[in-house]
Amino acid sequence: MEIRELLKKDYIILDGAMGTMLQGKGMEMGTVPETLNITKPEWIIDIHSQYIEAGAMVVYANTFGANRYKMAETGYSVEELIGAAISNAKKACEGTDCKVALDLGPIGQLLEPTGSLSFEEAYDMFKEEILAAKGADLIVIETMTDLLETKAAVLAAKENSDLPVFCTMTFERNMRTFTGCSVPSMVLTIGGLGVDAIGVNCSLGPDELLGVVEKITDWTDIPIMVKPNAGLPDPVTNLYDVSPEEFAQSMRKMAELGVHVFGGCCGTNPDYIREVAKMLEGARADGLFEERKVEVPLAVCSSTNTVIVDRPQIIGERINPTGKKRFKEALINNDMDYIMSQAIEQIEGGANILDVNVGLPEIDEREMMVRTIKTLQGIVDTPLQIDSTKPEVLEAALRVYNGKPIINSVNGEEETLEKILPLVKKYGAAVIGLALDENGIPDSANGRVEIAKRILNKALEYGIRKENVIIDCLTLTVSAEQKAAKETLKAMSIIRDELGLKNVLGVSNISFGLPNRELVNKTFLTMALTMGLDLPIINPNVASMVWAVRTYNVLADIDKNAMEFIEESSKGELEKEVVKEKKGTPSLVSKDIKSAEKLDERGMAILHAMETGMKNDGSRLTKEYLEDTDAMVIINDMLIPALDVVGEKFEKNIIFLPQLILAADVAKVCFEEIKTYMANKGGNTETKGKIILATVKGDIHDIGKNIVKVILENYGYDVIDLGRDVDCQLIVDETIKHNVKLVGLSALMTTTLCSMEETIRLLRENNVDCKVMVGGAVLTPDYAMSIGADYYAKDAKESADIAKLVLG
Amino acid sequence: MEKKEIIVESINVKEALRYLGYNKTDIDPNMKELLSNCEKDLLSVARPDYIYSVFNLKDDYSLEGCDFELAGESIKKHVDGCNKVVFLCVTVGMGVDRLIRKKQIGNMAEATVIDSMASAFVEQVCDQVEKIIREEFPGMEMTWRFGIGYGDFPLNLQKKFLEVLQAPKRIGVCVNDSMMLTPTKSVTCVIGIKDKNAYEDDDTNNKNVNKCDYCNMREDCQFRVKGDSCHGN
Repeated sequence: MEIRELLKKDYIILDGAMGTMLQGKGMEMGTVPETLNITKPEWIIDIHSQYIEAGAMVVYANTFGANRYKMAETGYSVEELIGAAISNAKKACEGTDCKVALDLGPIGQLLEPTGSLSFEEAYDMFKEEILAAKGADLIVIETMTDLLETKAAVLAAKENSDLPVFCTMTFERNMRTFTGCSVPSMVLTIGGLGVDAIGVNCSLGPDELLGVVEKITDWTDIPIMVKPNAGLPDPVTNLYDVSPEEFAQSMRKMAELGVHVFGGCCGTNPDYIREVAKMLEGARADGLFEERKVEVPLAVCSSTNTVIVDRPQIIGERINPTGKKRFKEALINNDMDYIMSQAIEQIEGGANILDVNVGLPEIDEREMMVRTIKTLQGIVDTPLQIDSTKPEVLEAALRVYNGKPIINSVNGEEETLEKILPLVKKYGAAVIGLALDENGIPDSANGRVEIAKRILNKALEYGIRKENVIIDCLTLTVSAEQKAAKETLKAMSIIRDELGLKNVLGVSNISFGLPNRELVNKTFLTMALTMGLDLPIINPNVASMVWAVRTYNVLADIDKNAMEFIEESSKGELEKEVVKEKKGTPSLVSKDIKSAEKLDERGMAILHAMETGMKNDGSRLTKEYLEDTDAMVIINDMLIPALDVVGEKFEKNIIFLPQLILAADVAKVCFEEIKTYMANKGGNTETKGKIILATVKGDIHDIGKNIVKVILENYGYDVIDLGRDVDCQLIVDETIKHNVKLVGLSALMTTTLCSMEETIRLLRENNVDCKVMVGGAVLTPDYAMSIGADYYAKDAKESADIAKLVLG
Repeated sequence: MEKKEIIVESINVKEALRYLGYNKTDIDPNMKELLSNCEKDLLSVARPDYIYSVFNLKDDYSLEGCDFELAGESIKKHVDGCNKVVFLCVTVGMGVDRLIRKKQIGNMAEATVIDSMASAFVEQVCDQVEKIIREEFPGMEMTWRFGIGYGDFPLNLQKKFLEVLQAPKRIGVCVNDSMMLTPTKSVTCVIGIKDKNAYEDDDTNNKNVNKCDYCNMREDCQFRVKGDSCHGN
């Protein structure tokens, strides 16, 4: 019987451990187990045969780590090892109904941003393994801890084969994987990709995994699989503590929870599988096997954070260039930090989900979207809503997104539905359907509901689950069409009550052309919430809007005992107190700092803000000065001299690195005010020259480079930050392209110094007219000179001195 | 016996400050507040974990039941006279990397402090694990922790070292192509174990041994210039 058919009809018994069995046969620690497929095929075949004899209906070929990275030093190719492994398993299966699974474990390197492996490279490695697995009956992805790597593996499996895909991740006692991935996040994301079975393996014994499995049952009706360890290993003897009989008893509880696929991981052997097979006979006889049906609420997630839409959840709208000059400028200049700061600000303001729109005619939207998503998910754990009109942009984002996102959006037009809904289905996303079509926005509530129905039906045809369709009944400007607001609200209540779908709505359009917009927005938001708005799209930095939602949650009996309301209220109070206290701190300017003499009263106030790390003061003062003072005067007569004072104190060991940076962080806020002011005026801030900064190829520790960046930017230099792990040639190309006269390279490891040397060599070879400064923990002035650098910077302050020397 | 959990309630802030260049400097109130916020943030995301294996050391410096070469003169000298070696890997978890990344957006000062606190933290965890191992070998003497890449013990053994410990699977520590550990705040090292009597006339085991003698950065060390050392006293 085919696996997919079998899954519907009966329990499936998998095999037990391979690794611990091989150790039992005398495999030394440090041996690469996959090489034994070729050097000791008889061991492998024997282990498979023992499992088959014990009752296994599927054996995992010995391919767990058979990827390009792990096999690099074995002298064998991926194709050879996987070919041999499958053939060994097939031999053991001869004359039985037992199936052979290609077993895919983690690659063994962490993905970006903590590691340096990209999603695309991970995908390629899995693809290579899948293509090598000729003759396998199914693909098993197991022991995964990184959700994005798991997604890469599942996509590689689904896109390069038609075999059934089983997928298990490994959870710790805290119900999370090492990377922090939670159970609902796994199920929503991996389940959404359409795997045939989903579950857990390794790390813990069956009893410890019960909680995890129970949680899985809440979130999906896909068949569930478990492959626990034989208990926990003793740290000294490495022996596991659960007997085969105890193991089977605990697995019976799994069957009671509705698990359909059973096996064993580390420490298990054929005895465990035999006991499980016996136990399942009993379970079958007791009628425990039945198809599960679960109602799953609408939820979206990142790998660590799940947002359930069982109450109003705020979608932050600020990552969007529409009408924002400063944001457009950031997109054009690849200024990721600015975009990230917008994200963090919204989350602090109260956003539960972030809309991401980076569409701008001047840039490659697809590339920018992928970059923004990758950077965002490395920093924030708020789920994202991907906002674009272009299917190719949406698909690129859906691939790399580490979680389950919302797609914004489709509408009633046949063409967009046919292009976008298949993507929504393939990647398991939720989707917003705008209640409009080729004829525009219907005036009446009923007209909009009709379109919503059309969208829903089409989505269901594509196999999208109903809860994943969200309707936007559209806000029209009330100053232009006063009756429209009522229709929108009416449509929303029908969507909620008759269609049973969730409502999303961008709120602020309502008030265009009216005075007192904030009040209009807030009132409309409150009205909309009572009519069934679940996902308000708002600016979370406007406190009154966020508080309207929080207040609604209390009044509508959602926020029980007003717990959240009270907690958030007390946070606000706390912040006020801290501000008060800080303002009382006396100035720390010491009299014997020479550069302080240049500062007037205003400059001293800025300096005080820098020294106390008061960003709000810095920003407020800068805004105030901009009212009557030229931006360049503020930069040259206040900000730079104030930074000089801080720098001098740093050199004299009066203050230390964190305080230097604290001051620079405040300066950054001041510069940001000036940039925004200039962008709005249509002018540009003069810069003192461009500097390229990069952490060299192979090096991923970039905090040093980032510190240098903050300092240099605040001395008025235009820093082009190429990031970390930067290809040598790319640095050369960018230097030529932007005609940069100073390049700063950073390396932390002795192993990456060679990349630094190589970069300098390439710069010289191409006759690039630039100076090179280098820095990093393992560098020395002598070494810097020996690899051809022009300057060695011992710290961030010194890099600013070098910049002054080179660029003025 | 179950694996013992590591509990660190406070960071060795003094040590973290030393990494940042502070030397018996007065800390102003702003800085104090910054430090305490950073410590709170760090402790809330850190998930210290460890894994170790003990191997019998043969006379030719090979290991019983383990295909791993203790290459280089310095590690051999370090474990000279030992009958066992411990392979140890310790991490404070990936959440720390994420926190540091996040703080770098607009809060570089905190990012710097947390980075340095996390370095101090991982050493504290090592100390605790060392205690746990010590309890396993009563009456035996342990050498100090000799890092992979230290002296002439090749850094490119890192990948195999982790595989021997199954560190990627068991505690989530991996290495990239440049031999950097990920999560960044992780440590790999070898500890030698010997009978107490073997200890007396051997200076590698002496608590007063100057670790700087083995260090590749010896000539250019910023700490040594100030009469200090990176590993404290």
